[in-house]
Amino acid sequence: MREHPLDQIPFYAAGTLSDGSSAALEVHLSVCPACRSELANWEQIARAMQEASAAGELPTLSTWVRHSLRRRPSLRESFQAAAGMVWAQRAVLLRGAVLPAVVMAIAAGVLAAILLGGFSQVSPQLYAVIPLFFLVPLIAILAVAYLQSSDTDPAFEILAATSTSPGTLVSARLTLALGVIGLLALIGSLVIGGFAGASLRWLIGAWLGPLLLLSALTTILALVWNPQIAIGVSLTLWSGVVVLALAALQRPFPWRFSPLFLLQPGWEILVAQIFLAGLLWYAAVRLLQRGLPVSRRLEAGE
Amino acid sequence: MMGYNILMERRSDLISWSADDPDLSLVRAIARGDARSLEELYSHQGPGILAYLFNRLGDRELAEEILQDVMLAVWQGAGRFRGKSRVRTWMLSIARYKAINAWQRSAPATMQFSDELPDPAPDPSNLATQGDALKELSDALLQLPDHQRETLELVFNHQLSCKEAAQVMGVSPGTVKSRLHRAKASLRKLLDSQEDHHA
Repeated sequence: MREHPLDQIPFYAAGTLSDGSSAALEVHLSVCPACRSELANWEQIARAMQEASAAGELPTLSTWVRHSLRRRPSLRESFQAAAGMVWAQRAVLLRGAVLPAVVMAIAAGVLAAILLGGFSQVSPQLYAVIPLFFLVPLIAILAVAYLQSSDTDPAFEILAATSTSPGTLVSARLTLALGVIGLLALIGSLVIGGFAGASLRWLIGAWLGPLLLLSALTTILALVWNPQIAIGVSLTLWSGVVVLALAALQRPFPWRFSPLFLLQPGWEILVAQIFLAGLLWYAAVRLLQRGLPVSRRLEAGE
Repeated sequence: MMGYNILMERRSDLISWSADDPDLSLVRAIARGDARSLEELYSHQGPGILAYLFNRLGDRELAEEILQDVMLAVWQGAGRFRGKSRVRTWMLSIARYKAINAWQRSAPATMQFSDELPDPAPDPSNLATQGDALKELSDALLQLPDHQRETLELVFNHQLSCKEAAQVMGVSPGTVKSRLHRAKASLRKLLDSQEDHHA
């Protein structure tokens, strides 16, 4: 004898079971008096619920809703709303030791750059660039992966039920985190420039392009696979590039293009990096708008 | 056995709601800035959402106020609605979120959580066998814990599938099923005690 499909009966009574399931259930009902009685109970409950819950008169849409409908937000209001949303995500950065860790890492990089620039006999300008070139993209990779892995964030339960898409909120968090890292790195670069006298274009250009490229890549990998894979791939890639650049410092490269151009980026290199990063970020934002973090979580929970 | 239930569950999941959801085109129009479509959506979904809000909050004025909030959220969020769920499910989710917020603002100290009654063995005999017994059943429904009544309401009054009701309440589909069965068991218990009382 089959098990009674008790879970299906209330939905059959409500009329929301799919045609296929309903047909299968009807076959079972025709031979099972116990389930027919169960169905009768649910039909009574359904009727009582519908009778108990009369909606009453619907008020007209209020004047302030109508007023809000008449006008779309101006560019300035949109910008303010976006900035407000980004700022509202600051709690994520302030939670735990994230922000102090970023500040300390960049401060250590600045100190190392000043020392390297001061002690280097050969090319102090070049050596002063290395610490932030290495550190800033590294910090960005870790921060992005951290933000992507906070699916366990209790706020995600609520996000699933709000009209704000989870992708928008994650984008806001990423913007804030990368903005803070960029700002700190910029301050660090100015300090190094002041002490070591290195070119600001190199100091900033060396980390800016890789920061944008690798954070976009990490976001995409975290969305498509998971944050662990994203960290692994991005870190491996970035350490490879850094090792190549350091090796090129020691001895001239046999190839036509030496990875040293990353340490001393010309305008064309900067523009190319930012353009490529723009393309990657466009893909990342499209992926985020599909709302993968939450849907993945909900699917896993079912 | 198990296979039957799993098969049924999978099939019911496969129903594609969004494709034939008549309100989806309204939401698309709202996303383009069409205020008249919002009015139309309001007249379709407003009564159900208002009843849902009133049943959760027990305050008609507050329910009406939140309904306006929901409509504003729909206006602002229509562009981000991707049609992966039915419009009704989406709006109920927003309404529930806003109702919880309002409730927490108004009475943070009186919040109560799950107070589910024990689950007695299912009884196959009919809950109410006579016409006037429907009145008793309606009275008993009012005495159910709110999360059980909410589940019944989403399933029977709003015609949500198991998965959709789970989505609105932020619980698993298994919880929806168990709440339904507990609600029925609670009703059985309440009706029995009423009968004893009359006797």
